[in-house]
Amino acid sequence: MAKKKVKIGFFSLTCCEGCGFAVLDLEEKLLKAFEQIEIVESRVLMEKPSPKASKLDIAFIEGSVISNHDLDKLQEVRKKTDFLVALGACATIVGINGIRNVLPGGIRERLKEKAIKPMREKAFPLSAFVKVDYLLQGCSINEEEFLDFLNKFLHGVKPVLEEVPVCFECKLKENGCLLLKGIACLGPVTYAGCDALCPSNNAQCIGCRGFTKDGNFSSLDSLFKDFGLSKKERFNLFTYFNPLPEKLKDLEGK
Amino acid sequence: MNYTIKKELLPRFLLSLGKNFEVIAPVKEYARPPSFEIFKGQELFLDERTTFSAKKFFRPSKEKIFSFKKDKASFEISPEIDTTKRVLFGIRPCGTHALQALDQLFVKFFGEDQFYSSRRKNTIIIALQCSKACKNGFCTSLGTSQAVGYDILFLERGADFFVKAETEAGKDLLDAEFFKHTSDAEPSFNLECEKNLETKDLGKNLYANFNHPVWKQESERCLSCSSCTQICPTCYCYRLNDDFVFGSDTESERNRTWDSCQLKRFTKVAGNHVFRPSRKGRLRQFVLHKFSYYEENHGTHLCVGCGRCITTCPVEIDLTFIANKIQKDVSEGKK
Amino acid sequence: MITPEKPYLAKILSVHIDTADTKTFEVAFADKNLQKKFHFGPGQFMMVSVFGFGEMPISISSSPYKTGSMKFTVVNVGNVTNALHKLGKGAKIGIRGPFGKGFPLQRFRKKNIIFVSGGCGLAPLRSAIYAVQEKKELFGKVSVLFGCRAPENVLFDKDMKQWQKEKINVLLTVDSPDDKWKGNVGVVTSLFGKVDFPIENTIVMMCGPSIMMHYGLIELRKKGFKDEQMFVSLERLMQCGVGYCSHCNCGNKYACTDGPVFCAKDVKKLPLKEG
Repeated sequence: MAKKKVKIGFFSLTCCEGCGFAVLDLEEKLLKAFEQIEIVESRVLMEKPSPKASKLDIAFIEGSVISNHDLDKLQEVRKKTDFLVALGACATIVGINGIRNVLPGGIRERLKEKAIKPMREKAFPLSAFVKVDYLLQGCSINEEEFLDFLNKFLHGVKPVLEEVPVCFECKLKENGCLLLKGIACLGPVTYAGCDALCPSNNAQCIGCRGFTKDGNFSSLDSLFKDFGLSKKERFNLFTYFNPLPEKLKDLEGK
Repeated sequence: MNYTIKKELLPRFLLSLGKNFEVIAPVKEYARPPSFEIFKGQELFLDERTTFSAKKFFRPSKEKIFSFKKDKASFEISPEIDTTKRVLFGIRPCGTHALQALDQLFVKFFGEDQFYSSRRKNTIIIALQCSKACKNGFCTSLGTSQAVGYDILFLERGADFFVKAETEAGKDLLDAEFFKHTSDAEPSFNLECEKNLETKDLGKNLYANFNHPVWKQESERCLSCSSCTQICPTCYCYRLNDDFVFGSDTESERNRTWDSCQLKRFTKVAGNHVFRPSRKGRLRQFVLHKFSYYEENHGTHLCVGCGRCITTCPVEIDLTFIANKIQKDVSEGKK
Repeated sequence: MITPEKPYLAKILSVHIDTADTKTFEVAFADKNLQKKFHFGPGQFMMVSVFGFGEMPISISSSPYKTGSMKFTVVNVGNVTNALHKLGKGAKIGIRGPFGKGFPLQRFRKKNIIFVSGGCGLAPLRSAIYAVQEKKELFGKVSVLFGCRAPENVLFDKDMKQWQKEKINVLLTVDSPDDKWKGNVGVVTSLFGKVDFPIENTIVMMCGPSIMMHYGLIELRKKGFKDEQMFVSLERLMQCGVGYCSHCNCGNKYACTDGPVFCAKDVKKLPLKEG
């Protein structure tokens, strides 16, 4: 492969930067990828961006847009990259940052006052402002999926986000179903790709990979109701990582 | 010739087979649901059929079937055929019938697929007859309560198993260290399944009631989680995927992975058109494929009555309920 | 045979650019003996592999009487077709087949024939048109109706000129014409009125997008065509091509083994509207 190396940049908006670290967890596999890629900008890996960073082949952006500073940075990166990948829950579905969006009014104002940098009224995923070419979901992302994306990209294959729920992978691992034990699990409405990490460890899925378009939210909600979850609890669970699905608007308010 | 083996000797017998075979047995590990695993002395699960079926040993959920390798002058297409010698112990009668159905598809009907048939030929089947009905099973309705196509059959008899060797390959496994000859009569069991399925004209009636309200009613709570198809011993639908070996332009592989008709992507074609978009259509495809379509093409049902799909469904969708509802309406002349 | 899914090595002999997003690839088995033994009927398809990218079903668009090679006319719509489009003469791909049931031309002897096609649906029909042209003394009058989005999407214009020379009535229509377009404007069904073959002695062969075939059949029925006279090629996702994988399952039929060409009377029995 004597091709020109693919220039990659990693950028962080407001987040824990865990997804960037998840990429580093690939260790040797990432080193192998260096035969074909070149990281030209990354706050974690480099002291300052390489001079080549003025034009990028792929930009991986983690974090949500919660300030004008974030927005400026996002738009600047969009301008200089051919392909933009939203990395992780904060960037794809607003994730934990989005809890702020559903807080009662008073608390939100106080948060804003105490913030160390000026905040916007609400937190947003990248797609609210710029064209996002692909999503790598999860909190944090699945490294293998990152590698698979990179492999496909290097061969010119356009990745497709498949409408497959976590349950599909959970059953491949022959896990017992948490829903059958009366545990409120969001597996049926959440994108797969994590190898059913949480349910495999007996923890409920909380939807960090985003809700599928095909999910049957009303049915799952009434199942949770049968489990004895209050309206508030259901609201909290469904909005843990995701915006409240359109079909569950009833859960809003008291 | 028939034999007996003391129940307590069973784990030792299975471990002794491990010298020459990969031994598969129903086990229960920690808090996990019972399933078929490679036996290394785990706790055997012999109460009833396992939560997960044994199909993964014949059709793995991800199976590399070809590797492609490009050299300067040549191009290699190499199939990856699994020839591991296996013994599968403890498959229940419903499971043996499921294997017959897969044989029909992957060996007899469409032409032989060696990825499947090689595993099949290299696996000695030790079936275990059920002595009591299991939860949600309805094998007695479908005539699948007696094992078929096995090499050895185990039947429970007090502290022993009564053992029937059907094939030479099976007989060769029955070491005198564990097995004693017997001239006793074969024990018989009368299973009484809780669930029943009215099978008279079942396929015809279900298809004739393609638009029966029960499809919509039941599918409305379907989560499209695809557990039913994953867990089913006869669901065989799959997709093919190519992947490059990481970092290589010249080496790639082709994989078969399980797919599910309950997923929207199943019928998606170029241009993103989906032929079976609704949950109703997808649930109906699952049931009709089992009882109508397969029956028309192969003369039997693709369902073996194990009831796994009923047990595993988080929202209690029951295909016997759907089928019986339609059967009842037909017999009462409503439809 | 190891499995009906085993691809065989093949070589691209030539590439022809048809339109901005469509190319025709001439392909032959790398093993000359395989190519010698290879025969197919019009309407049948092959599974074509671009190694590392995947496999897809593609109808053969060349004449069944031309045996040294076969042609695939491919629109660039997805990852595999895109990878194929990047390949040139001499590149190696995988092929297997032919699969499925094509158009039963031997049953159409002495009949007039109308070919109805939309977009790249003309590709499998071209194979049938060539076959009919080759044995024209066996058939009656022939008409080819073709509809596509815009003038620049018109396929096989060279062939069309040739067919017209051979007294095949070729009628074109587009959805959105440009200034130079002199032909018909509208969907392909709008051409039905321009063919006045006696209905009772005519066969219709149709291939195109599902929606076109759906309305095509309705309009033709209105004109008096019976289902027995109409044949369509169904579009479904085929992963294996040999009846295993069940993606193309529709009712008790499989588009890959029972089709893709079905008589309209059989199509009527299929649960096409699955909701």
